Amino acid sequence: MSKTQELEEYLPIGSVVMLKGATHCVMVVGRRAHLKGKGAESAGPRSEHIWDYVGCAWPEGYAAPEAMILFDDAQVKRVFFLGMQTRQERSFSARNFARHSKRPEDDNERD
Amino acid sequence: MRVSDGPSGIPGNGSAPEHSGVVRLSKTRPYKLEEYLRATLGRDAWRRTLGLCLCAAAAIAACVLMVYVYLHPGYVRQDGISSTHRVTSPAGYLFAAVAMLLLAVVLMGLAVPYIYAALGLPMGKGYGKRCKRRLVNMTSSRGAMPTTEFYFKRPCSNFDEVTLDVRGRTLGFGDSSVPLSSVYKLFVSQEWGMLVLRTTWHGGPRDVVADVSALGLSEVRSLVDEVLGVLPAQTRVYGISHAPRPASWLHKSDPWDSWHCRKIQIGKWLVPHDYTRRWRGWHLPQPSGASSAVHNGRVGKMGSYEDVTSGWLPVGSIAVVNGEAIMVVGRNVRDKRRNLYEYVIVRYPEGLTGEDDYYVCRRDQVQRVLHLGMTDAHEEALEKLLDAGLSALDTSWEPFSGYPRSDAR
Repeated sequence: MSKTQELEEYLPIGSVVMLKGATHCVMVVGRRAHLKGKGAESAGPRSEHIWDYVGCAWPEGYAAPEAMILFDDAQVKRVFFLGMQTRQERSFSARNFARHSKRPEDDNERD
Repeated sequence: MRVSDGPSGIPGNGSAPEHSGVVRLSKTRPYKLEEYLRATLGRDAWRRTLGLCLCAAAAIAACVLMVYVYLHPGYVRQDGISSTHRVTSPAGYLFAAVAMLLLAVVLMGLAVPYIYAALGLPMGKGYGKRCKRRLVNMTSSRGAMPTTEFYFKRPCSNFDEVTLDVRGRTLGFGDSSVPLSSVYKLFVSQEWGMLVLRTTWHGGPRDVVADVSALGLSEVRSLVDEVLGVLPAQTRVYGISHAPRPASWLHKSDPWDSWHCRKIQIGKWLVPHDYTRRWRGWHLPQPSGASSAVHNGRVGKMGSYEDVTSGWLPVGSIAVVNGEAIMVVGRNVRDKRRNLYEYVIVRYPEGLTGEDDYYVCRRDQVQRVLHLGMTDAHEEALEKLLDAGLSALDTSWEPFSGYPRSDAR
């Protein structure tokens, strides 16, 4: 079961997580992102994959556009800090990032 | 998803020294004269300095007179034989009386605040019309309190125990034992209040203060509703009662005394600056723009507000810039024209939604801070580097091997 399925919603932006196989914490700065440009060209068939989160290194933060990290919720190892959750944020997440709004091919890819 | 403790080897968010719990009254000084004078006189510190200098001068003059009287040679008899007795002259008695009078004035001047505090009287009555007027302004400013300050050190979902304590009465929420109307009564009475969110985030309870003082009723209810909406079902709310009168702050048993001490200890980001401004007797108009807000804060030289506006917001912090909520995602960057900006921001709660969805802003554009990002020893060390003028961070390391990088989105 993925973490998104457990939470039934995405992590709020500002959350700090540790990814599997990583040695540095990542902070979530966006959700539902996909590769574009050189990164997409090198990714091959997964270039169209919509990643659950886009993050940056923590605590350094944003350094350059190419330094952003794309990852899925299944790759999250631990959550150290949750970003601010307000009513607006929850409604925004429910409206834009609900699980049913995910593309069906995303689940097919994971299978 | 289980929210786990801090990363191994890294002090977690709750391990910062400013995360101490409620300071016990026994560990606090019951009354601090200097703090009271600062609160009373505000920016007119020169008055306090002048008053202390006058008291010191009076004390020195009294000592000199007493020494003079003690060393007075006394009378000389007409037969030319000097008296062996030290007979004090009438002038000596006069000097002694003046000296004792001055000494009494000095002691009374020092004792007046304590007397007022003991009797629970407002200090403004004893400090002249100007100070009294300032106290009145400070009192009347309660109606113009900030309306949206709500500070959390950590997200609400991390708290497993939240209670609201109003003047010794513990009110619980979340378990539906106490209706929300209790909060209504608290704020209808125009008393100030502080929410203390008790958490067991990193072993052992810690308290986090959130200022919900003198908010409008609807906002208070929405805030409480918002807090409870993201909290577990068994949560309770703790709080501290607030003394309505300034003189009551000085009372030994007043919890605001401990709060005042804790206000210093909980960290530079957590202090609601507007409240601090009130606390110290300032009555500045609420700024409408970002620059004016900083301007007021800097002119006022309010330490806490200075911290908010001069320190570094950790990444992940939610703030208001130009009336819009944003999240800090980076710091200390330069644009193509080599202009240096303190923060890289994205919209909140949208986050990064497009290729060129980054924005930059300067520190003085931050109007208010709604939420602080995660902080620990690494963050503090980085802030020191940023203070030292670090212009570019070393990103040559590769800690995320195997994860795709987005050169564009």
